[in-house]
Amino acid sequence: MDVSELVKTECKMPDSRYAGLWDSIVVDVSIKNRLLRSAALSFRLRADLPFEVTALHGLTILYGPPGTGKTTLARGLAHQLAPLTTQRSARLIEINPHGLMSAEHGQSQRRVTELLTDYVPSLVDDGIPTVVLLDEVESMVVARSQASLAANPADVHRATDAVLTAIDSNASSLPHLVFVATTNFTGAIDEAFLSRADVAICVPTPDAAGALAILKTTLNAMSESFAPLAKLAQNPALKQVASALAGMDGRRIRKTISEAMLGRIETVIEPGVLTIDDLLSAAQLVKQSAHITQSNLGGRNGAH
Amino acid sequence: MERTRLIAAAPVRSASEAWQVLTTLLSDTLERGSSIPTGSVAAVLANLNGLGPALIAGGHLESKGIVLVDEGLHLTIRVLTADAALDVEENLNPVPGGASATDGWTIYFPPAGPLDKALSSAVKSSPHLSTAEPPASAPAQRSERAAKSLIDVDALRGLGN
Repeated sequence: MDVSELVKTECKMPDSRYAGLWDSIVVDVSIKNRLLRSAALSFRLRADLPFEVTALHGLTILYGPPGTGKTTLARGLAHQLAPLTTQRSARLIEINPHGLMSAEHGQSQRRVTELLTDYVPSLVDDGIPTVVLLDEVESMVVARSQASLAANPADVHRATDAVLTAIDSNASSLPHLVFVATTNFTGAIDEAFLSRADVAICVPTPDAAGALAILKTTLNAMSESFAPLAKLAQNPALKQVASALAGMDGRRIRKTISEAMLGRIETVIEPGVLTIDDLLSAAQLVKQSAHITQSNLGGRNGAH
Repeated sequence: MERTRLIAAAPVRSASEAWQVLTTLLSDTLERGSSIPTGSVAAVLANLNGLGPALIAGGHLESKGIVLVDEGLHLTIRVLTADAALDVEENLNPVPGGASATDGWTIYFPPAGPLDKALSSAVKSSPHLSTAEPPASAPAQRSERAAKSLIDVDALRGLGN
């Protein structure tokens, strides 16, 4: 397998396809500020000072429950950084970590090394500030302390070692590169990887105000095709729907609208006739469904 | 950073084909930089088009290989034959560091036994070719380039708090 196949995305910003991502995620503004500032500061300090002084690895970890927008924020980061750079350009590289792991002896380590110390550096050779997204990073930096050699091939351990070596190497040699890793399972990530993070940012589930903003944004976006939904977005009773959905992940909150539409055949035929009652009913259904799912999981996923 | 690339020759490919692969790898690496014109690397190596395949066929690039050196770039390319060629895992992607290559790039050739005289004569055709011992590491990049500012402070101020 050519390691170039492990790069899902490689594009320069600004790019209109990525323009709306950052704003589409409704989180406390301090989370976005912290993410943007951490990348900008990393570029600023690492370009001028040696690693021995800054101790910055250029690694940010976004953690939190699924569906909260971690990956979307990371994808949008490069677009946000572009106007802040001297070259007015930034690059996004998205890695598929699942493709790095191989059942063949020694292959995982070889792929990680080739990808992170050779192929990615060759892509960023032009010096343009670059964000490398390692989505669901727990699959490539397995916690070695918790991994049994009987259950986990030594290859996995060596692959984790290879990631750490690559992060260390790139920290000083590529000051224009930052890694943003996302995870739902911080407990499954190797401690040495976590310790290399310059900053770890929790992306929580939205509160009622956040849920309301997500509902309004989604309804307004849908109103471009189904105009009456813009009026529904202004309905004061939408706050009740949002209160019922507070604490759920953003993805589920968005899907509550389509859940409401499938409640009646009329709204399937003409989504614009959706009412606040449809939304309230759907919110209750979604809430019950989430409660059952959480009870069944019993908090096994270890998300922090 | 010092890097090594391996290229398979016979029985995987002929010496001439392996020389072409080597030429392409060097061109793809160096010509990513704005200061190296497209086609210029191949033009320099064209002076060795008869000799290059002979060096490979004679096994002269197996152990030491050729070494490309420039600011921040130290690349050894070895061309393997026989069993070693069958086992090699090639990586023919452009080598990191090439995009900032300068016009001072040099390719160093190892001793070539009976071909030494012909090689010494051929490398005189270009200042980019040499039979001298290559430096042990890449020269440091010029400080003004290494310390290039990445972030526009005025744009940052525009973000406010």
